[in-house]
Amino acid sequence: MHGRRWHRVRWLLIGAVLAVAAVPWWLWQTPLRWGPLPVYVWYHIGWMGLVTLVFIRFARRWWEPLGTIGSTQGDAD
Amino acid sequence: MLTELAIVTGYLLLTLVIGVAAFRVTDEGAVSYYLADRSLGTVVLVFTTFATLLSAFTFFGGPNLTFAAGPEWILVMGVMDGVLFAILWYIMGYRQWQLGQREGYVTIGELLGDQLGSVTLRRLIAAVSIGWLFPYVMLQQMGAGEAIVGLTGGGVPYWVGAFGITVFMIAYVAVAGMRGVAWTDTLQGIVMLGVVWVAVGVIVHAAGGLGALGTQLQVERPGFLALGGGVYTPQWMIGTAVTIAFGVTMFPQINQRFFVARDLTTLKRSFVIWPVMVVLLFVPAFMFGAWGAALGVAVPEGANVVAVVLSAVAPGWFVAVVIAGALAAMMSSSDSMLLSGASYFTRDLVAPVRADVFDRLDEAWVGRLGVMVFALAAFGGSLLRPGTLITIGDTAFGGFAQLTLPVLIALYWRRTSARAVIAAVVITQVVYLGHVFIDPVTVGGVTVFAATYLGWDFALYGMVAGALITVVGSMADPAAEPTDRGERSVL
Repeated sequence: MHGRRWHRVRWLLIGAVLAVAAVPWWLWQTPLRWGPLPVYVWYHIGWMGLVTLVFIRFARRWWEPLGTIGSTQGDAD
Repeated sequence: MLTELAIVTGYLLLTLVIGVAAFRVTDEGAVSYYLADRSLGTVVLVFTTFATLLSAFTFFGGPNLTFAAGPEWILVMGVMDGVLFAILWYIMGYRQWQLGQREGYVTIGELLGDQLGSVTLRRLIAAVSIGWLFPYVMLQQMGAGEAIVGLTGGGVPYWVGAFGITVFMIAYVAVAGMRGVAWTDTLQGIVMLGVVWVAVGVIVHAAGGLGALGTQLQVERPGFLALGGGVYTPQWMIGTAVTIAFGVTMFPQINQRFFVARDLTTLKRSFVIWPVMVVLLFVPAFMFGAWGAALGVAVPEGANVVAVVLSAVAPGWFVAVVIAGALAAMMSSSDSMLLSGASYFTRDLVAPVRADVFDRLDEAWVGRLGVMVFALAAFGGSLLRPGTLITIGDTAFGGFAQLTLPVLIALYWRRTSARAVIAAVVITQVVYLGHVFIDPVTVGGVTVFAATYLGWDFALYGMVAGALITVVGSMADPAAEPTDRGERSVL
């Protein structure tokens, strides 16, 4: 039970970081370009790649323990 | 004009053929008609959800915004769909999918009403949802009518365009249900993706290559290269991404897709694919607007950026193909809205009242009738264009977002009381509508009914209030002991 709670907190934190850092706030008002796109658009493309990798790992390893009905309390069935 | 009409008509006929093909494998009964027997695989589920998410607003409104204000919209929509919606897909969608598999639910109102033991809650969720959905469907029909007027240079009048689209949608939605919608959505999604990338190729070619396009962007629109500025404040970007992400999860046509995955693998794969889809579609579609500005194409005030820029750099038939792609976006949103709106109406509003009559009918046929009534009523609205309904349609995302947190709490917290959720929904809806329709007033130095408070959208405050009312109300409600719900509850 303890381990499950820890994983839950850890994935919540990871999810929060994925959402918050999806916009490169530290580049705010900094004009940068690489090729046809502003640098923050490149950052976005890279970040979505990272998000995909994290999601793949989450879906493979931790999906079930977090959300299965009945894992928290008594199951009716 | 004939070529353009032929392209659009040919495209519409193709969707109809797919609809008929889907009808041939659809059985009788509600689950087959509304949920395609809960049998969708990854490709179809992803495309149908994505195509449903993308409306005319995404296709025309997005490039219009990036043309005027810069490509930051890519980040807003990226966070919204690629991260927040994906996470909600797991938190809310997986939960709903499990309960749907186990208990046979078709709508979220049905799920909540049954789990929390309240028919009132079921009806309330359905009524509020339809209240926001109907004007939104109307807006899509208006967009379709106007697109056809633009395409034919006024040769086809507005009402004929809007009516034609309505009839086509009724034909394949009423015939084929969710399976037909999902299959045509897949076609429409592929058409959209293809069209967007070809359009990017056209604009890159016109500019003389990627490097030249970048240089031109730097010279013509240096402000676009720096993140933020103008309309793009951090509060606006975060507020918009959050309200849209939470809003779409309660949009009936999206929420109902949580029930239709074939198995867990499908659900997981779809979850993983969101960020990839976001990059594949939003980056080219929205950069198109920003690049159009870099090319220095003059777009008249209020005109459609995609159409004007493309007309400047591409042949007329290609513009028609793109308009067909945009029609695809509108139809793939509207058809799903019709279907889910009909299911909310028949199952959650009508059936509980007249169960005696309802039980003797085949629900799929009642649903088909519901689709027809819903579509024709929305078409009527698109002709009359009442200002109130247009305002409601424009603010629907925030309205649906008010529902999300109370519902999410009810999905996870055993102690949630139906009365608390009802109170949260009623109060937040009234306050939200007040903010939409009442002009800001300053009372004793404090501005009420303002569009933002401290820079943050009023919808966000409503979401927090809804969550608080649900939690505090449930704790205060003596009737909401978890044991009282008995063995029926699996939450």
